Amino acid sequence: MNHILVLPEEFETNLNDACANNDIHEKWLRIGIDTVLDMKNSIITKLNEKYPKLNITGFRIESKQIIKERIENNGGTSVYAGYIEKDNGNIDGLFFYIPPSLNSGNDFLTRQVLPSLIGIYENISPNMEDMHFNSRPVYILNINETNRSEQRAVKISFLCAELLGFNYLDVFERDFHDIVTDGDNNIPVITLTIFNNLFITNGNNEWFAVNHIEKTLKLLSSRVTSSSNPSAEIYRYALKVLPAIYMAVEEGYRIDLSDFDNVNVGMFRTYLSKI
Amino acid sequence: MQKIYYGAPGTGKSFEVNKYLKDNHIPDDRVFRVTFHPEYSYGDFTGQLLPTVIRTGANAGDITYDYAKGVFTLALEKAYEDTSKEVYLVLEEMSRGNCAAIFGDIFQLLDRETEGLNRGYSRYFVNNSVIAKDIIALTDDRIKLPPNLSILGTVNTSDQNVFVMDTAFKRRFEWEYISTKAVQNDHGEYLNNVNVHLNNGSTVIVDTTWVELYNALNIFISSDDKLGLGEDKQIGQFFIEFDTSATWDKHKNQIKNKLLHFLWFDINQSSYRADVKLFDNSIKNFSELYDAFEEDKKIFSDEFLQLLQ
Repeated sequence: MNHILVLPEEFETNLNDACANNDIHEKWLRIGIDTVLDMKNSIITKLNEKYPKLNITGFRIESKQIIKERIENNGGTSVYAGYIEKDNGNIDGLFFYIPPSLNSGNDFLTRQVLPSLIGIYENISPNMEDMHFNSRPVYILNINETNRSEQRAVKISFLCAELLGFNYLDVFERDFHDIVTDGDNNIPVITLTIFNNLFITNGNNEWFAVNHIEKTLKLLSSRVTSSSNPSAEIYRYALKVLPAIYMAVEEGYRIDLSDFDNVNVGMFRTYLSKI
Repeated sequence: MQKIYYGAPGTGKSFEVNKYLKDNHIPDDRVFRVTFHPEYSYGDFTGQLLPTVIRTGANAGDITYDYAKGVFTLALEKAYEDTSKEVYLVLEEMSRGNCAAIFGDIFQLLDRETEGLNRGYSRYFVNNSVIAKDIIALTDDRIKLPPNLSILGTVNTSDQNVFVMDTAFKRRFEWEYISTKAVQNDHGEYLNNVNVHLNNGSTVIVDTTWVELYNALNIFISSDDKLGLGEDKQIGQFFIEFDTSATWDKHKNQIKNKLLHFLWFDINQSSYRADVKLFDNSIKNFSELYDAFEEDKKIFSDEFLQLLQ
């Protein structure tokens, strides 16, 4: 079955602007890409190689308002969100891209993906029996040429996305698994313990606390409540704790939400109460 | 949800399925329906290669073989498009097909997880690259049923020449009995109810209604002190679907051609009771039964008429 990538016009604008920027264009050339068309073809080729079932045959540009309505996003419109369309016009998956030249470390990936997913969840949560946060396959394309993708904090975000079952493709083919590989470069099965260790600094994990004896996962609210922008912080927070929640539930741990009793986290709470 | 509605013919099993779908506002594009029959196979259910003619000229064509997806695969694909939306696979007349053969390895998917992140998904997977090939939510060829895919089935309890459903298959479904009890509308009136006249020549023996008649027949058929044929042979309120605005002549025709045929060949011929008869002793064969009813003669035995009155 063939698919088409449907994306907002900003996707093309971003590519055109990136190609016109000498620094970015030089980085494109290093991976054999010269023009915007080359980049688009490379995206299609790489997606089809990594995900053969997609069989993407092209792009279509659509208004972001129409995209928002079609993917049933109750939140704001997104310039980073699109979808994968089947031959018959049905949506078969969600598609997000991390744009060129984005330099914000804190919002890398989270800003492009989580607002739409939370907006969609607001719409689907009343009837959804599936315990996962997303109801459609999620694909994330990284066409950002900066070295942000090589920073540890950003790599953790990519790992979180992968652990949530999202499909991630970096056009520049930069790996992020080195944050968890062992001495022999093997990627272990990620357990709650291994995942927890990624967030520990100075002996503390500021996002969640794992108690292996009582088998509890306590979500900690300080990152959200102490942030100068809690509404944005919740996106970063959600990306990090959702994989922990998934693993905890699978391993039979109880989720402790007591630290969020008086904290407004919107639709995220709806999901947490379901779990 | 995996549920089978079962009961006697005409009790409204398919009606219950449709009512459930309508009450839950399930759009048609998320309902996949099939009727099982003795020739229905696993390939029909999941998919198979079928020849297709590609026209190359006015009277010419090439034959190619395309994979034609079965109703199960189509329902599974639809369910995985968006797991927040309910999709229903409706299997009518399940006992008319060989369920074990039709389901094949899909049978293994019917056990669902009851807890954890994968609650509602199949507990076990099966490898089937052909079914999985167009489902992008499945990263490889391992298929599972998602929680939003429900299977509803109907089974007639009194069918002849049916396939036996084994216990291992039966226990993977909830079973809901649809009784022969007559259904009423919001005003308390019985649905599908018409007047029925039973005569002996010019004399009206019994003026009754369809609901009273079929209820009396069910008692006479199943009671141990009557024909003793058990509940399997009973009939439902919708065994005959009447146009309630039509005349007695039309209703009489329907009773003559449908009900009497069933009563003679499936009930009368099945009964081993020599002392209890449904029909009058003067009726020796179906032809006489048919003609007698047409000519407004008495057809039922005194014993049955006493029960009816």
